[in-house]
Amino acid sequence: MKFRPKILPPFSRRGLLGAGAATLIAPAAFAQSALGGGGDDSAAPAAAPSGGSNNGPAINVSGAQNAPIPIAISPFSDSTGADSSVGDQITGVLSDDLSHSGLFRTIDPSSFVPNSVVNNTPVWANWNILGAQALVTGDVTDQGGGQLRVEFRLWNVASQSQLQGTAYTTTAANWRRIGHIIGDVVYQQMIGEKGYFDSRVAYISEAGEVTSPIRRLAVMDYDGQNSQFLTDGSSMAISPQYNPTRQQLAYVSFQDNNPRVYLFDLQSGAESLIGSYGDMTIGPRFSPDGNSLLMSVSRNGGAAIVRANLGGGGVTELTDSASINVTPCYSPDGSQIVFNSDRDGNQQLFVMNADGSGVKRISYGSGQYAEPCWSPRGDLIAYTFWGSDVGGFTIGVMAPDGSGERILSQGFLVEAASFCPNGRVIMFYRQTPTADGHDSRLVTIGIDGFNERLVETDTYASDPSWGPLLS
Amino acid sequence: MRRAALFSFGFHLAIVLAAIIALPPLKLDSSADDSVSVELVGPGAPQEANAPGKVPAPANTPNVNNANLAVKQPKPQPIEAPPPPPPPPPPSPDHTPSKVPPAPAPPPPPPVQTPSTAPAPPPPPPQPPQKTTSTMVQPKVPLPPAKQPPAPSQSPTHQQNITKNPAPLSQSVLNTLLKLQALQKQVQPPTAHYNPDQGGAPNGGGSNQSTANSRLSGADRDAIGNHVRPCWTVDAGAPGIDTFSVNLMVTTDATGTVREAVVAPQDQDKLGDPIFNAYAQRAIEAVMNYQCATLPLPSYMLGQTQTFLFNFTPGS
Repeated sequence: MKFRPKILPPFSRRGLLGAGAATLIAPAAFAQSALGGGGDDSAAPAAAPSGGSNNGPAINVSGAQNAPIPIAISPFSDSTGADSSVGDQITGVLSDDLSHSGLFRTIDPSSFVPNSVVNNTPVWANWNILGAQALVTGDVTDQGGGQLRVEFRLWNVASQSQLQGTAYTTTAANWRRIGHIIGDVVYQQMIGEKGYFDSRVAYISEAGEVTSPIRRLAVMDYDGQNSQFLTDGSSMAISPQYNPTRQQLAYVSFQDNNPRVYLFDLQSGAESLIGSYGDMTIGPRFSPDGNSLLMSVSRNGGAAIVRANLGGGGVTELTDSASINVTPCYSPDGSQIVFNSDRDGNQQLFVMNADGSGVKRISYGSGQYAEPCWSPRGDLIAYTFWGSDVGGFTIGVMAPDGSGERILSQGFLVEAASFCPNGRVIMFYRQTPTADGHDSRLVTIGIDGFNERLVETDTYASDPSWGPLLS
Repeated sequence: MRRAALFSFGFHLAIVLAAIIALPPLKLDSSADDSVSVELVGPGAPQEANAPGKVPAPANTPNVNNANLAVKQPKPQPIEAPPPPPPPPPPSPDHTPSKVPPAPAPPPPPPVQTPSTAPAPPPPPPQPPQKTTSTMVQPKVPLPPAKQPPAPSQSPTHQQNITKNPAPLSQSVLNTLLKLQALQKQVQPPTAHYNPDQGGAPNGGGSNQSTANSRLSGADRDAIGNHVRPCWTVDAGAPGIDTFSVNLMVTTDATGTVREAVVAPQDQDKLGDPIFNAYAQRAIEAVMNYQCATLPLPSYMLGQTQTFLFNFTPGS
């Protein structure tokens, strides 16, 4: 059989251009060509600006800036349109929530044009001129009997349309929470994810002398307000953890000078000891469904990670105690656990399956890793790292496979990272030396490493654990 | 005479009774309550959160049996159904909120300076034979210009004099018709303006997805993209944003200013993802931003509306 090469037509730049143009952007001309109405020569002009009915390449816009959304929050008036002190307080909370998130830029109310909302309808020109992309309006009605009715509307200024309108009725003392709830609604509408403003944080309040501090279990709003102590400080409390599905805390109490993990029910105030598995139990972490608890049991100089079923089931030992295995944390789907172990010589991070199999080391830095915390989004693991290279402690994040490691913040002592419910913000505590000892403050930072902010608390604070959304 | 009066009275009485019986009762115009239609019933338990800064002393700290904890505070329930937008306020001379596009109607575009590369205008349709009437007869010899009535200030169809009531006291049917005709006559100039540049559908018609992109050179597209870029912002922390890309159909007016931007049909199905939806909204905001909305279109594309396909990506 004789090979017969296929003869290709000679390469023609002109023909290639013509065919390409006809194929890509000149279907009409191409059809005409196919019908014998023209060849390459007739197809080529179709790409020229001749007003044909053809589509061309899209206009590409790239290189976006990471910028907050400009939003205007019109002060909430009362039902008669007059100023309302409660309305001002609610809008103050709302403004703080949005601006502190780093994703919104609240426009200064002093720049608002007077009477820019008439009969609950914005005067669009007055908001356009401020460059607002979104607008929040609302009013507050005192319904008597200590009840407030708060109505708000979220507007898209460009499209002059209402995105959301909701009214809430609650007790007057709940005005701060109403501000948080409205903030979450605005956040979800504009960002596309659930917010985190209507949430609480468990932490350890620190007071007293440096040599004999009083450490109490406490809980507060995410912004540091409405703080409440849950223990009296007679026994030192550390390492609180918020149950992700219910109002329940786990923490380590040094009652009888023996550190053990306790459960604290925030609804009833009831406290209960979780088993008695060894010399001491530390580092509790709830499972994503809130029905079980991981913790470390000290034994024979080492520590084993165990899982305790809160429904009354048994205890499953996930690691041995030949080395120190501590601070476990579930992945959001509950299939994996990241923990901290010195089994390779110094403290590093490891990931294993939820049943304890398939242990894999994920950190390899020349220092010590501790207190890993898996993001609710599942894409990051936050941790504490210290080593000679960085000259102190750092809060960092990495992907679950150990890649993409980066430092978010560092200092004399930074520890105990905890993600907010949507995984966009991390709270940790920062300890700074002072003349008479040190202070300890809670700090939030975005997972992009920007927008680090101090959380105002009434006392020194440490060991934050961010709870779930309340609503 | 009396019989006729009685007959007339009876006839009218019958008509009135028939109308009462047969016609449906008048319904009052029930103006819809546009305020929040659904109320939220607040929680039963009172709020017990402490005021900021009032941290109780350790001695008063609630013990483990104390049920009065802040976390028991009632949870307000949001209303599921959002209230409809309120009715627009009565028009006032200062502002007129309405649903018209934010910008005022653009002035009639200036005469287009047709460059050599501009597309040739479509040939005018054949004119039907015009009927010559006495008012349209052109004088064969130049005549002095006739005294024109005051020129209409805004439109040639502007009516100067309001039709008077021909016979206010007349009860004839013809007079009633004349009154009706007078009422229906246009007494205000039309608000629409004739746009001589809008001859035919842009781009020769076709489907609603056709764009004028093919009339742009690569340099034109780059210039437009660079013009919009400063207004293009994203939420860099959004999950998966590095993989996002959204196409917009952007419509400009005769001056090249963006008047409408919508997500292109090929990306409509992605809008169910709220994060992508937020990303797309930011793209729309960018191209509608007053600082970037006037696109640097080539001059031959001005003078008529155009639709372009934009693609927004976060990376450089």
